Amino acid sequence: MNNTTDELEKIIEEINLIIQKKKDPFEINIKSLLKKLNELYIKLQSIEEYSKDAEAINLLATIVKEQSNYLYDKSSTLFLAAEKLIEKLTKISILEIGKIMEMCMYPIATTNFINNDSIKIGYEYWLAKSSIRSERRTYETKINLINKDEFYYSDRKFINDLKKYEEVILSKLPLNLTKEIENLNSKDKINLLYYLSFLIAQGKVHLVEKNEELYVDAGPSKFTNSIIFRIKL
Amino acid sequence: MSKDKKKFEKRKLTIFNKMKKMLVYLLVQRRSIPGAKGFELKKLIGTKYTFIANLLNKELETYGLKLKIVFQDKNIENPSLQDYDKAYFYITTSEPIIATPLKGQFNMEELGALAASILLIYSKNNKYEYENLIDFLSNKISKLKTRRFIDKFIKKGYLEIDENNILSLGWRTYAEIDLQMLTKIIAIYSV
Repeated sequence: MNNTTDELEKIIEEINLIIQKKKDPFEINIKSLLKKLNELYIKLQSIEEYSKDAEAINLLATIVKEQSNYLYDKSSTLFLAAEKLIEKLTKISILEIGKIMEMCMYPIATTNFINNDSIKIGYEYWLAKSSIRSERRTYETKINLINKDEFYYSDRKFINDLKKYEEVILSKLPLNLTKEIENLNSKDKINLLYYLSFLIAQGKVHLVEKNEELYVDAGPSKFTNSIIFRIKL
Repeated sequence: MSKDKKKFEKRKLTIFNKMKKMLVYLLVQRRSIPGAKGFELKKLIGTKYTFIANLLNKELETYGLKLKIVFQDKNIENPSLQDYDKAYFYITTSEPIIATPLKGQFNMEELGALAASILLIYSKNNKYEYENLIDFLSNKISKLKTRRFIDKFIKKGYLEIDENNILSLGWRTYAEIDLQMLTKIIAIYSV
């Protein structure tokens, strides 16, 4: 391999480096390279050397094209200088910018829909969901349940009240319940019947029906079912 | 029918079904952001999802649509398969909808404000203060409107705002807007 081939290969390598790595096309001096190629042209002897020379010129032409593209791009975008761009933006009316924007906008195609399955899932969820009211009630009940002191207090109060009613009822036995209820207000009626139901359940008293009137008497009841009182408040 | 032909027909059908599957997955919005990420498509279609995406893109072109891929690194030149996995895939119109009477979600004033905001943020290296943008836009529209517009752009995903009130371009800007074209048109526009 002689000097001419070496030099031609060096030039090709240099140009290839610019093209492949996409460097600034103005990094290369086209004039000096063309001059060098012109000098080498006289020394060319073999076909290989001629083809290498042609390759170098072809690559140089590519660089010139790149330089042209680079210049066109930079000149058309005013080198993307921020200040120039902002200056332009202040001069153009907002509606004109809007029209320009329309030319550069490619909206995304998308769709939202509900299918049968999603409706079914939604409906099931709705059915399973408890109302806010009942949620609140459960919350309050829970608080009552976990408050031990309060629970103990209410329990003790209940026992005391039950004892009071027990004493009153037992002292009046046999008690005409129909007549007794008639003289009471609605709150006392409910309280009497409420505590009476516990005394019956405990087997301390029982109910007897005589001449379409109800009587309370001592001793356990024959009935084990729950008791229902029908009263007018 | 020969065995090879049968095999070929079967393969054709499989590819077609995968294309349909990808199209539906990309069109139906599941989250606040439409489209899908590469790894999601990989899970749905298989490892050759980029090949299917290419075929789907060719098919979509006939209907005035295209498959747009937005890479995480915006200036990427030769994306690898990993880059595709992290990229976002959207279906957009292949041409701007100027001719069709579809103004979409914005009126002309809003579009203008959006373009100005995007260009300003873009020219300031994708960082610009919220208050400064309001000052800039309020030269042409009222401050009240400006705030409303910017909030709308943020909500739609064209702009993003961080905790320091610094605005940057949002995912939708990269997906829907040809930024280079917009810059060039504004630069060569004669006032």
